Amino acid sequence: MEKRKNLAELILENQELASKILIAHQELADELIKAKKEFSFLNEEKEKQVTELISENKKMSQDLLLAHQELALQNKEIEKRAAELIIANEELAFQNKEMEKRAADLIIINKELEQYAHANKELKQFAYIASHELKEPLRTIENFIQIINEDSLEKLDEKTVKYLRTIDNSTKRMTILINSLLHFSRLGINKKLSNVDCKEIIDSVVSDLAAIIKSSNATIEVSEMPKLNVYEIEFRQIFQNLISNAIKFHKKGSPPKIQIRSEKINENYRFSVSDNGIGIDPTHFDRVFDIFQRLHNTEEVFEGKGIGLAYCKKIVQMHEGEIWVESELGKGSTFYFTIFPISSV
Amino acid sequence: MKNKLTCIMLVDDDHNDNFFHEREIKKTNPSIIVIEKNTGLEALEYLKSKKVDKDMLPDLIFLDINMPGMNGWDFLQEYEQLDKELQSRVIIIMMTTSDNDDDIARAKTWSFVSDYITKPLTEEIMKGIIKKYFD
Repeated sequence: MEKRKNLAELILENQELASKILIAHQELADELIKAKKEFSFLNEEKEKQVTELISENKKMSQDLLLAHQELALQNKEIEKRAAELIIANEELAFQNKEMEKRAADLIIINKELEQYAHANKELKQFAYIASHELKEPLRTIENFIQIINEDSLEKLDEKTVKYLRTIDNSTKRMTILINSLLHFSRLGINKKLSNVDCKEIIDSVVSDLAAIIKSSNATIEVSEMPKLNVYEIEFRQIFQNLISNAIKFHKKGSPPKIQIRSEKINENYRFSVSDNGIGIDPTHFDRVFDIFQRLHNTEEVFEGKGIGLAYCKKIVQMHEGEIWVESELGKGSTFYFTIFPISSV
Repeated sequence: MKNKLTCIMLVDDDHNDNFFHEREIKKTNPSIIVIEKNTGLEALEYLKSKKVDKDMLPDLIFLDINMPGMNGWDFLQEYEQLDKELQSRVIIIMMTTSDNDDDIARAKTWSFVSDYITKPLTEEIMKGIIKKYFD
């Protein structure tokens, strides 16, 4: 019995155990399923993440590639620019050298200019002192000729008186030459710029020359004239000299006809003074403007001093202009000169 | 008040000029006394050694500019220091070769320099001076 009971108990126990196992098994299976489900979910997530990562990675690598390409491009640009900079730098260095060279040249030129200015000053001073110093002994000669004239003339024979006259004339001529030279060397030293009406200047010159204009029966025709900035006193002297020359060198028997004109050519003004006088041989066209070059060896020693046209040339040059003559022997002359107004008004 | 012109001093190193100028002066009045001094210093020493109102003082001085040693300008500077009474009695006229504007302007800066003429002094110029400054 015991054995039966035991068996029954065992069966029961077995049954219980079996059901317990079943339950456990089921639970386990459930859990497994659950776990599996969870795992697959996780897996999915992971996969999703991986895909995302891959795609992100791809994008990043693409971006990187792009950035790399861009950088490479930029790098090239920079290299190019660097090369350009090197060239530019070399050019600058070259220019700098050129500048230095030019600066050195300028220094030399400047020194030369200084030397010229110095030489010019010395020359002017020389001309001034020479004329000044020459005047003194000359004055003594003149004074003593006067004393002989006053005190001793009756004691001299005719020949000696004639010789004395020759000495006197030469001395007087030399005095004029020296005074002219002195005046020439000082021409323009105190020059003053002013705005002038050229017509008024010519009118005043004409009124100053009224006496010789009247005596020579000269007619003077003046065209329209500009207003200019010039060195007035010196500028006036150009007209004074040209007009009085035109009257002085007229043809015998025909009264002087003088025409004065002006014309604007670019920035310059060109003036002309024409006459119907004796004219000038073309071989003398340049020489007439040199100091003390008289073409007409007149007996009248004191007339042509041979300096008027030299004055004109110097004054025209003061105004950065040029002077020249066109002429035909026996028909008349036209003197042209240009003036560059310091600032035209 | 104008003085009578009895004495003239020529301050000039050029004897020929002095000789000629004295002649021209005497043409206007032979009794004028002409004193010749060849340097500024000599002229100054003469003026310093004389007593106003007692001795022969020049009424008129013709002063050259270019002279060796003390030139005309130097002379004027020293002259300025002299006795004022003496200065008031003397007329000074610059007489030189130069007609340079700078020299003329410079002469004008001295109040006691009355005039500026260029050589030579002639009878005509002398007459003009007498008329202008003396009885």
